[in-house]
Amino acid sequence: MALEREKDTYKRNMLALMASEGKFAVIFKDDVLGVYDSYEDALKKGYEVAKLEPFLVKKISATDDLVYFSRDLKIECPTSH
Amino acid sequence: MPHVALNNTPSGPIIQVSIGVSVMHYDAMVAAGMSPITPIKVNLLVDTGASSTNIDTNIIKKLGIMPTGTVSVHTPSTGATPKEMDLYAVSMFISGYGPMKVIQAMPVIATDFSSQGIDGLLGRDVLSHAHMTYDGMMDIVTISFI
Repeated sequence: MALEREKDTYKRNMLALMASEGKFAVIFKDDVLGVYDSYEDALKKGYEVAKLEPFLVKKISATDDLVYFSRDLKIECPTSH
Repeated sequence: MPHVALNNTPSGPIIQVSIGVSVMHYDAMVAAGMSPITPIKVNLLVDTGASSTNIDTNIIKKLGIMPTGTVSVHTPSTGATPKEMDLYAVSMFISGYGPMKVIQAMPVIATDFSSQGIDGLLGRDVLSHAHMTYDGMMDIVTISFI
């Protein structure tokens, strides 16, 4: 799974970020680049700073983001090979 | 915004849209002196059982994008423990009668649909911006995007 470093950064900063629950955090390596109202604005900041390197956009929430599918999905990572 | 009439196929209603890199990724590529990738036409099954849109892994590979997030996924086989999957930011272009709808950036999951004759699922994240009717008697599905 990608973005492990960024996910660790999110966990380390989660308490402070919870003040902005529902907004979108942008994380690049060990730094929280900012918090934004929209997914698009967060993505824009990520590309401004990280350019084409991997970065994380994460909706700030006390619980995991969940999505549901009524059909099974074949799970594989297209960037892992 | 576009009004689209879809024929109901044996798989269900299929909509053709174009998928590209997000506008933000496009701008970053141009700034880096790279050639942006032309959006790819895909056939998506309109799936009200999918809370999120899902694109075939081969399309994501062609776009050359990296994940920008993760999400926990529930399917009939995941049981009580959801499976974590990567999210990819893409743009979507939907044509029909009326002006094209352009989604500059949206997160999608990548999954292998190669054996299913489709390129992915159009989920409720996109349908939440539309009015849809399913006419089972006429076998026609219409979607009006707002």
